[in-house]
Amino acid sequence: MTILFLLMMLAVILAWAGWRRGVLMCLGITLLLASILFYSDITTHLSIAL
Amino acid sequence: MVIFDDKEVKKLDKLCNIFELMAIMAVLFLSFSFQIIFHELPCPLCLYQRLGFFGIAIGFLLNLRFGFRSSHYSVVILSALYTSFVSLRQIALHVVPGTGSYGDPVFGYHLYTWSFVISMLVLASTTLMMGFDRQYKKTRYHNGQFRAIVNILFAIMLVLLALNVTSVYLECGWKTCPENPTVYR
Repeated sequence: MTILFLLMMLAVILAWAGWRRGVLMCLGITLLLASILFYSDITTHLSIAL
Repeated sequence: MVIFDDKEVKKLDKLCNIFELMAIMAVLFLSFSFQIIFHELPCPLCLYQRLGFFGIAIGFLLNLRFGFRSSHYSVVILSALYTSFVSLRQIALHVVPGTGSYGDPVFGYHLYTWSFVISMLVLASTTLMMGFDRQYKKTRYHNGQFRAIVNILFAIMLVLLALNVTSVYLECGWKTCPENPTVYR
């Protein structure tokens, strides 16, 4: 989780520095990783419930 | 008949972007304040929601820094969708009577319910805002005052993120976060 927040911080720094493509890549990676973690959380709970 | 010229449309969109960005920053600031004042440590799902709100804020910052583009609005919409899914999942966890709740309610609703409401509002307002085609025309009229405001917003955002990184590191370290955290590690 700490890494995800650090990636967000990197995205803001890159945006301030003016590298737009870098920001979009960084955000894309962060959202993808966050979605995978969230999905694994759901499937773990579903497998317990079912 | 033209009611607003291009410059006025851009000015209106800039104001809307700044307003929404400040609202999201207020949400993030309040959630962090609750964590510190009431000693309510955020659960993993709460942290995912914060992450989504940061994504929304960065989308608006991109608009203010690089000009209006549909790709920036798509960052906002994707992040808002992500936040709404996570908060809806947390609502579903506690929707059955007797299953308890996480944290204290604020104005009658829990923070995850407010998170869902706010992300839906962001979705609706952003889809409306990105519909104004004339904002995408390239014009140069960034004045010094506007640049100063954007720099201040960037600085506030970085401070908020630094505070959150520190608290998340203290709570979870480099591992996955505990489901019901009670103390910092």
